Amino acid sequence: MKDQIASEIRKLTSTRSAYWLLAGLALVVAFTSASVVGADQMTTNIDAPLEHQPFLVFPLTVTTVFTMILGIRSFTDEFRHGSIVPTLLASPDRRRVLGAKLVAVSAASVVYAVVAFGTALAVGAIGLAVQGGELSWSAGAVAAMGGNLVVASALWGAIGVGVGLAVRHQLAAIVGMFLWSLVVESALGALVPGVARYLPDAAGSAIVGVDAANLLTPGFAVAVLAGWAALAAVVGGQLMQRRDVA
Amino acid sequence: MQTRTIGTATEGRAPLGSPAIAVRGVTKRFGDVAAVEDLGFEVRPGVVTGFLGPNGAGKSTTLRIVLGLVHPDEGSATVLGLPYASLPEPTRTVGAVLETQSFNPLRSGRNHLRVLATASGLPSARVDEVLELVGLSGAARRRAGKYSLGMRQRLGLAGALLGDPRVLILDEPANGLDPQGIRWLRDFLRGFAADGNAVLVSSHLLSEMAQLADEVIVINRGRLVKQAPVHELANGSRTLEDAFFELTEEFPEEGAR
Repeated sequence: MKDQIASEIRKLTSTRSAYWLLAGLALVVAFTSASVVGADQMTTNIDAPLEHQPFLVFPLTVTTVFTMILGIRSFTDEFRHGSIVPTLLASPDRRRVLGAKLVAVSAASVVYAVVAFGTALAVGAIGLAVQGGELSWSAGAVAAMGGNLVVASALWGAIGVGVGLAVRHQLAAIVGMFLWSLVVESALGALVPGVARYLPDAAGSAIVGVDAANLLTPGFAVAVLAGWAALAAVVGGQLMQRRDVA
Repeated sequence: MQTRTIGTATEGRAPLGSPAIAVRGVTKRFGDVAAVEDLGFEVRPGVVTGFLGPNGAGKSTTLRIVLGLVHPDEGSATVLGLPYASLPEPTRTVGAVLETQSFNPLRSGRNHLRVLATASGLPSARVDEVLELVGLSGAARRRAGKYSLGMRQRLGLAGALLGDPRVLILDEPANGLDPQGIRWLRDFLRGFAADGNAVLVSSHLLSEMAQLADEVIVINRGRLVKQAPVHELANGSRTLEDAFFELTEEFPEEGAR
């Protein structure tokens, strides 16, 4: 398993794709943080502590989208290019390949979360300082926010791996996940109000503390999102066990 | 492919058990269509075995079943007595090339091989050895997507040789190779087999196969038609091509007229 994990990490680091995705995330976060800090209504928040600054909200929600895409691409890239064949010839135990990808993508997702959160903090703090704000923060609260983002990002990366394996087609998997978040999850929530907060998007929001009203407690939300990640991995893994790789 | 020496350490290894590859009663249906039907054959070590059949005869499906990529509906396929998925060290046992395009085009040839070497616990030094062996050292750091067809074949072959295997399974390996490359491949495979290893190679190039293979397996419509030494099929004025068409009845009507 150690060899497979090392191989998966080498896959991530030996093309520019994962770096470009990370650069895109950092750029989007930097731009949004700067715009939020620069917006007029910010003057009321200018002296609020960092952990209550609205410019942190966007990175908290967008980072998991990027790690989910990273996760989806882990398998779909291999199906698209046919490199799944040499991968499976080297590691015929398909569950082991899945496990290695889950570990590697989760680890990369941690990096994504740290970069995104750090970028938002840095850009936002500089913006506040430029406007003459009084910078203050609670180290514990900021670290907790970052930690929650790390956990949510890693779990969404893992969900992406399972979904990518189950669907195999890259665009279909990504579009499907967006449709899920934007349409299916809100429709389900409206039809069956009791389940809404247990759905993956809501659980992810609960972990990072965005729109916290009506959501699960962060600790319970981690367990719920981990459950979704496990479900995605089991479904993808079961389909993969039976499938022919042509 | 300058190097003629075979970078394998097969001399002095224990002889391979026979058969190296065994396919027994394999049937595989895709929907209603049987791609392979009750197919059985054995591949011995020490010889090059050619795998022939018209397009759609089931060659690729069969090779994929041997490699554990496709699950047969019935029957079994083993390499050195074990199903591929049960081999303790698959890369050190079997090397395979199935398609020319089976790598991420954005990854360099060298990194593609390093990914595979890492997965099999092989040292990076082995990557440079196989690159040298197939004559790709000069292009190793270029993106594999920019490789010519022949270079892609060489990259695939390099990947198959990474683990210094005892069995080679190659699907159309000569495709895209220049005459020197084809000659190098032929010499390499013959030397590899002469060292007591097993080679199963499919090809459409019947004249090439006549020079390369000691023995051929001919299948048609998913069934075994013939397994015989090449000299038995092609002798005198009768070529392997003649034998192939007789066996597979590719153009029976035209032959009758």
